[in-house]
Amino acid sequence: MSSEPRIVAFLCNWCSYAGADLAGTSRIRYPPNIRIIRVMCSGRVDPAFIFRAFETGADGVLVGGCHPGDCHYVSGNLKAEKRMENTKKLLKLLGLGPERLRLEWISAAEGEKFAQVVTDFTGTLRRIGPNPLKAKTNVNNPIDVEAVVSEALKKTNVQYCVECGKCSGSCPVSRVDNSFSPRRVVERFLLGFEDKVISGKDLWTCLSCYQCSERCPSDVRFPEFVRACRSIAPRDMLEETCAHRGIPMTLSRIMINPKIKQDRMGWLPERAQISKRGDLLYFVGCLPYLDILFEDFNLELIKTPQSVVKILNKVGIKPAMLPNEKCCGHDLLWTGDLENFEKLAKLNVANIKATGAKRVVTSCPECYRTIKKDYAEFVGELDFEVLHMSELLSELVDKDELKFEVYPERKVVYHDSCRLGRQMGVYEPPRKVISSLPGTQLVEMERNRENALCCGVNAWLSCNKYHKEIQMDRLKEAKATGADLLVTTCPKCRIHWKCVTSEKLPINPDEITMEMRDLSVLVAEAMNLA
Amino acid sequence: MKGEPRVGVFVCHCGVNIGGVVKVPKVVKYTKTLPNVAYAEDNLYTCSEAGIDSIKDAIKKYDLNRVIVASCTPRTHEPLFRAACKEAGLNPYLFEMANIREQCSWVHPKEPEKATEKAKDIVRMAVARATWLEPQTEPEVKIRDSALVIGAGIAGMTAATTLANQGFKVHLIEKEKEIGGYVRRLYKLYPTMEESSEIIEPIIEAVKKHKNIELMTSTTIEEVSGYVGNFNVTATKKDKKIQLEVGTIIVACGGLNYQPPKGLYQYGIYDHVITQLELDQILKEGRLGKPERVVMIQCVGAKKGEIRGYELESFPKSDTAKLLKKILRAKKEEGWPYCSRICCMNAIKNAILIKTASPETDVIILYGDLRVYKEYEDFYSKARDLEVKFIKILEIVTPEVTETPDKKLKVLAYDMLAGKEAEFVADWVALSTPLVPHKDEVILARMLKIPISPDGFLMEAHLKLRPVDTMMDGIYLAGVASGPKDVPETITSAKAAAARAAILMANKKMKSEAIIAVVNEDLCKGCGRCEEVCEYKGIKLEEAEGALIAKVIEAQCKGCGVCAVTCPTGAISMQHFTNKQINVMIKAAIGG
Repeated sequence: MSSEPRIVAFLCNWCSYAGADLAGTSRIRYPPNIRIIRVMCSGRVDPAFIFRAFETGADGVLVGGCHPGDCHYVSGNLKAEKRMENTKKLLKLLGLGPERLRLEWISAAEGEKFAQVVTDFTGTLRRIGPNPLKAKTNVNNPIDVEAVVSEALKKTNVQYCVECGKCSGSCPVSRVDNSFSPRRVVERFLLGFEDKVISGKDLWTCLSCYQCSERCPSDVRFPEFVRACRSIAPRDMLEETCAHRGIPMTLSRIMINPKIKQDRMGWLPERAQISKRGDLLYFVGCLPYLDILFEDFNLELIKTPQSVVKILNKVGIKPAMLPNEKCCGHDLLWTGDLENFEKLAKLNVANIKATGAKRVVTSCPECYRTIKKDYAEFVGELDFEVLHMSELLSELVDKDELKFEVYPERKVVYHDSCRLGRQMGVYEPPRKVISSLPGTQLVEMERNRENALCCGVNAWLSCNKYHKEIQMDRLKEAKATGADLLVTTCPKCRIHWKCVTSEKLPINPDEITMEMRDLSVLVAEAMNLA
Repeated sequence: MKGEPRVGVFVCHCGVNIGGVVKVPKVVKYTKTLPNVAYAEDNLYTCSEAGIDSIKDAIKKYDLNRVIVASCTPRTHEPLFRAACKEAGLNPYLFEMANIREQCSWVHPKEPEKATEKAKDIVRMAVARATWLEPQTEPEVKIRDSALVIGAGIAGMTAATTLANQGFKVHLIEKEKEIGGYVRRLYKLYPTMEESSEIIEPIIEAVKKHKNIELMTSTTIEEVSGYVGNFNVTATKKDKKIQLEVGTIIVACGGLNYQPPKGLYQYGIYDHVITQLELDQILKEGRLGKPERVVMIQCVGAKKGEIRGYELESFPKSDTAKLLKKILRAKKEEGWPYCSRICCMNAIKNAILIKTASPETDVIILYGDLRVYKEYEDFYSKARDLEVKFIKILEIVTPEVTETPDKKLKVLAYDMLAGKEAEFVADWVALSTPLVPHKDEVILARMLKIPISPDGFLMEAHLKLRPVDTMMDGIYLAGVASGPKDVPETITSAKAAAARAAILMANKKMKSEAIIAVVNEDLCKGCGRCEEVCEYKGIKLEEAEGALIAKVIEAQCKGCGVCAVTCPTGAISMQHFTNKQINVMIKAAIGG
């Protein structure tokens, strides 16, 4: 690849593509660095395309649309504008630079403008240098199928299945979509139909919530079996069933590149006390990215890490933090991208080690499970302790170090998210914390602790009307407790529930709409730190 | 895809247009190394008969199931090459073009090596996409043989009678009690000076008597749903609701003669400052008498001025409503900066009428520009012969109207020829105001899902090539609804719109677009976000077994792709512009 910048352009058929044609007809010259993809409307340009272009090595992306008011499809360009703004924020976080993405309004009569834009953009890209992701190759090392499958069989106990059907009976997906059955998947596999299992759609429906293996008399680790199969399954299936066009995973993969210098600390509260080294490290997770990706939901996801830092500072802890923290890799692991997961794991562990931290605390249950359990499995014994923020808060409650100043009278219902609860056995610490808040009464849903119902979506896979039913089911259960607030520690749970309560429903929205709060934010509010 | 893709690539020299810069043989050689390419050749002019034959022969000889022509922009010859593929038995949607002329050789003439490399990349991208193209069929839509005409002015009535005479049933709807629109209110029409009633009354009679025309007055449109050939219209007359099922719609809702706000040139303050329309009325009723002087000011509110405020609160917060708010706010500062075509002639007509009835009256027309095109030049000469005075003023110096002590009007303006300010004492001041769109047009636009032009009139599909079509198939524009016109132009456009509608209705069916959205119901969760963003109601939620599922209404979907990007689960894909096709192009664009 030459050192000349490469621009990938998405031009709308009616205006900007025609404008580019006009530049040609008028023989106006511009640098030959641009490669044009025609779309019908700039509103067709998915942010996923843009991230893919950068991931593949484009130095710049140009999106051309009609002038506002002139869109051939009325308002497609206005939608494009909003999306591009959001994408630029993510590019800034990634450290790729929002200047690499340009949105221009170019009409069919503006051949001169098109040429000008290309010339200008090429100049800018020459100035800011090549895309740091360029040098990377995207070829996955071929996986030894037999080795992976036999490993899976050994570790997951799948050959001990006695076909009792307890899994299918407990599976939340099976309950709403009876075409899915964990037992059938295992049976098929054991009977020699591995190909059908691996190339099928069922593989991507599993929530990996562990309800089945929790009850399995033979201790079959079905979710881990599914995970192993996913790593050798055709990627087409993943592309088809993955929501949000896999943007969260693309962001995670981009972070692997060592040349990427993220700009991800902008959310830190004023006067926050953090450090490059320390005994305790706070691992934030992808909240800065999720906060932007889902800004329309107004979940204030970023309040979680802000609250954590404020609480820690208040009790005299100055946490170490990683300015170039990478995604823990949870989604990559659970969608079968083992190679990239390992890379992320190794990078994170090395960076954590460099801070000298003896304890790592995280507020996200997925990061918690992934670092504590999966990193140890894939990368080797960790020489630091991993704890969840609820465990740390519980410790602080025991030592009476949390001073509460605000105590509204309210009922709070706590949801055990799969990764923290059933998978890692952390049930009591969050409850102790909530119960310690004066004025707060903790109530329980019927299905709690090891029986808690999954929030309905995992790793952004297979989101459809069945998974929506699971979500509505859980929210109805929460509402039935009469609680004022639904508290959990997992940002994904909150995202999925907010998504379902803010869209069209086949039922009355009042049946499922609940105010939600993250546990750390709840505590920070009670301490008057928010 | 049946079997392996076998791609044929035809790289065009286009004489020296491409071949003079891009090394075409090198591109052909490179193309042969690309995966799935079964055949590649170069042509001097692929669009020539020889080139087309070559494509058709190669399809048969080499069993090609994808064809790429690397030449000019698809915007010119794509239909030609698609037809060639179709003739050779290949679905026309399995054809792709690589633009190596307008977007390559013509813009990099001094960099042949780089242009050649770029051409190779462009072909590589096209091959990547072609591998994933699928055959498409254009779904057929039945067309009902009845039409709705909105507005019974001269445009609406002309369109209605034209269609009715061809045997189609026409529902003609008018919101006022009387039909005939503006023309009916006028006194005489230029340049023939016929009484408007002589022209319009026979048309009104014909409309009322026609057996194929159902006339509904005092009726307004409430809702329009459906799509081309199958529109469902709800109208109300007094309190009664009327349901209509029609195949085509012609919008002939006209415009308004802009009424100046109170105070502009003292309009509304002094009784004798009037609009040309009001002057026309006065002349019709013979109330003018024999004044000493009448001064007319042209282009009032067209260069500067305020506009009458529209209440926009009743509009829902759609993008269209926001757009109109923007337009109207801009207008508040600028006025209506377009020529309304009719005002110069109208003023001259009224001037001639005054002079003919009262030769002693001094008639002065103050203008910045005078527009009297085609044979109207003679009309202007006639006015000059009658000693109507035409005085060119400097419009930056806004004319001023004040009252004299003896209750006459004094007009102050800058006379360009004299090179100084001039004063005129007049009995009447007539203001020529523009033709503007009225609020109903915006409401209609929203209902019919057709766009509005920057000036607020309904927008035609293409300014030059499709002046009476709209973006929505089956909906056409007639008369002032799409912009200022005089009577002959209005009649012409109305007949044109009727002809366009008649084509559809006579054929009884049409092929609709293949580039539309497709919903994978296994992935749809019925969230409704697609429905919210679609400007054309091309995708709707339906209830099925207790859950909501999105369904595409094929004839209404315009294929823009906004829903596909909005869909959180990825359930929607766009035919012929799938994510897969775009993703492989991205990969090919960067390095293959």
